[in-house]
Amino acid sequence: MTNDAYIQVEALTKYFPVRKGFFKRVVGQVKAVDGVSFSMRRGETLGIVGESGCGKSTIGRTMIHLLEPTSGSVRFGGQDVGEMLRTDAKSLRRRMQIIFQDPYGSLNPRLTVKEIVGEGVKFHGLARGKKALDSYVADVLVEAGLLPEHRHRYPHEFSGGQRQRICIARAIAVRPEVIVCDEPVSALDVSIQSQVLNTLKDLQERERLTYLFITHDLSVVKFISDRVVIMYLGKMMEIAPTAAIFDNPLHPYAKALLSSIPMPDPTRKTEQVLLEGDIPSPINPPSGCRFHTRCPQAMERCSQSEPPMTDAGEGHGVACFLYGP
Amino acid sequence: MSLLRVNDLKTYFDTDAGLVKAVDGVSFSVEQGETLGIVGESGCGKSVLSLSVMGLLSEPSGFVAGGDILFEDTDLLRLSESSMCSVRGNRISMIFQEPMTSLNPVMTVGEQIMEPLIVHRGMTQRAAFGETVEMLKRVRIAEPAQRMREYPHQLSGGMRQRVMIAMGLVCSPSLLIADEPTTALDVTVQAQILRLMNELKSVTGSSIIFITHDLGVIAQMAERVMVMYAGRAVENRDVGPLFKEPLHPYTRGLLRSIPLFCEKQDRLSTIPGVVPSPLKKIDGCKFHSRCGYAFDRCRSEEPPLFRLGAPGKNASVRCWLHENGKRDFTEGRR
Repeated sequence: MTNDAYIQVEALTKYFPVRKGFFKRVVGQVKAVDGVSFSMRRGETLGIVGESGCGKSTIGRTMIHLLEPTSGSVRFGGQDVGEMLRTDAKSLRRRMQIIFQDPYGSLNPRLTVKEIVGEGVKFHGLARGKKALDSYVADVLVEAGLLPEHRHRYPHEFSGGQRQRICIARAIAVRPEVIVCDEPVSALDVSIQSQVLNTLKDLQERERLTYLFITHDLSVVKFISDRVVIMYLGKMMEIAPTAAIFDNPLHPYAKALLSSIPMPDPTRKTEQVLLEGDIPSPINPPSGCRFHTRCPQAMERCSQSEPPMTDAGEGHGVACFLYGP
Repeated sequence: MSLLRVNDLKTYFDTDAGLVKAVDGVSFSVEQGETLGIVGESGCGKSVLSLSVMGLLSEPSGFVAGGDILFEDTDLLRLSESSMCSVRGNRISMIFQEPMTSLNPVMTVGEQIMEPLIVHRGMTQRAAFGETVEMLKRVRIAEPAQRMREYPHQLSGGMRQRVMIAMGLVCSPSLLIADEPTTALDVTVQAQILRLMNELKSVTGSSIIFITHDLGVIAQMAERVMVMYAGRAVENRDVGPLFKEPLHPYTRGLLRSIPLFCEKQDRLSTIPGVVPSPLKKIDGCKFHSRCGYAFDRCRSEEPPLFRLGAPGKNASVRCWLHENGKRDFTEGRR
């Protein structure tokens, strides 16, 4: 990984304190994200997949410093994001946007679409005057696959897919460079999901956007991403170009995860690497490799020390003793 | 004789905004030991259909306006509430989507699983306890006696769903209705639960109605599939032919909008538009406004379900394209 990467995430860590009792004493830490490093090129889509509680949403939020990381750094275009937030928060917030999962909870029900989408535009001075703002918002709505006349309506008048398009319009309205997409299509029906995914891809090509795409749906990630990170309990298990992950997963967890997807083809009964049990608690993660408690190939050293991320060639990294040092 | 036969079922909801025809003339049957998959997007009526079979509609707004539901030759709609109670949870049981909200938070897991045994089988507390321990072992819950004393919030999502399954199967029902049982779960846990359901089915010989929006799960679980759209069944097929050669344009669209696993595509194919509001009256085929094959007749006249193939085969499709038998899609548009 070179220093001139567009976005460079280095040892990113986020712990949440667990408080208990009357005095809300801190009794433990939820290790949501624990030492995650990766880099992104301009215009690429990096997919982050994993099951609930693996820290994928926390990565998205700490990367753009919506949540302050416990430690570690994020460099964006050569500058430290934490530093930028102190000196020039306004431009940072314009350049990095986020789309949330729940299109119902993330739109203010008392504002019209025009107010929702126009707020950032006004704040950043991208359109001056009432008329200019009005036509600006109308254009953005069209870009996001809505109609100009939708701008006078309220969120409750829209379907789930359309609401998600409002969220997309709000994000792209300020002409960002990076968008964190946090499960943007998980709440949508299949036929609507594919429409929204296509829109996201169109926008990316036209505006040269960089996406950090967080999802638990592996078929979505296969469609949208250039590279994929597989997370488990706050740790990166594997990172590789999308084709390599799907054709040749290395980490035992990646293999199990991929084999668990029910195939939409009744003639191909999925041959599953069945994992026993549930994901352990991130408050008290297992020692050593966090996956060793469920791993079918666990060895003695897996419970004692933690495997480092090893290069398996061609941009394929894996954190597992089976492949390295 | 079919285990369950539903004829022309109509379930309507009387709302302030007007009459919602959530299920509008749906017929199907489930054979002994068979898994029927019901698939469709939100609002297609698949859950309302299962609630109608269970007699669990939220009255008075929801009501069955017509049709009959024959279970082992008894019409469930004509049973009194007390006789329905002896069927529900005993011979037909149901697993709901959200294991957190459908378990009682102030009762221990054990009490909840034992309840149907005590009520329906007249078992003593002690016998029911033993039976429940056995059941929890079968759904692979470790230390069952210990778990039975715990409350739902102390269990993980996968465990709760196992408890739901144990509760559903403890009286060995002849029919299990599973309404999106794995939608709230992670994929690795989903794989465990699906495998478990298949194993238990082969042991008990129960029939399953499996309701989901996930076509991958349907392909892995069901033997026959009913595709629903806007309160209607649009296609009834065996699972193999359905996935190999979907006939209704809606089914075709659904299957093609799954991001494929085999090849990298540049753009996904989509079904244009959105599911119409159930309050809107649509002339002709309910799907015509989103259909790439629609012609004049589709806009004015609703197609009936056309039977396909041999008379004994349970295959049908609601589309004018197949009026004179199965039509080949290989030529033609889109």
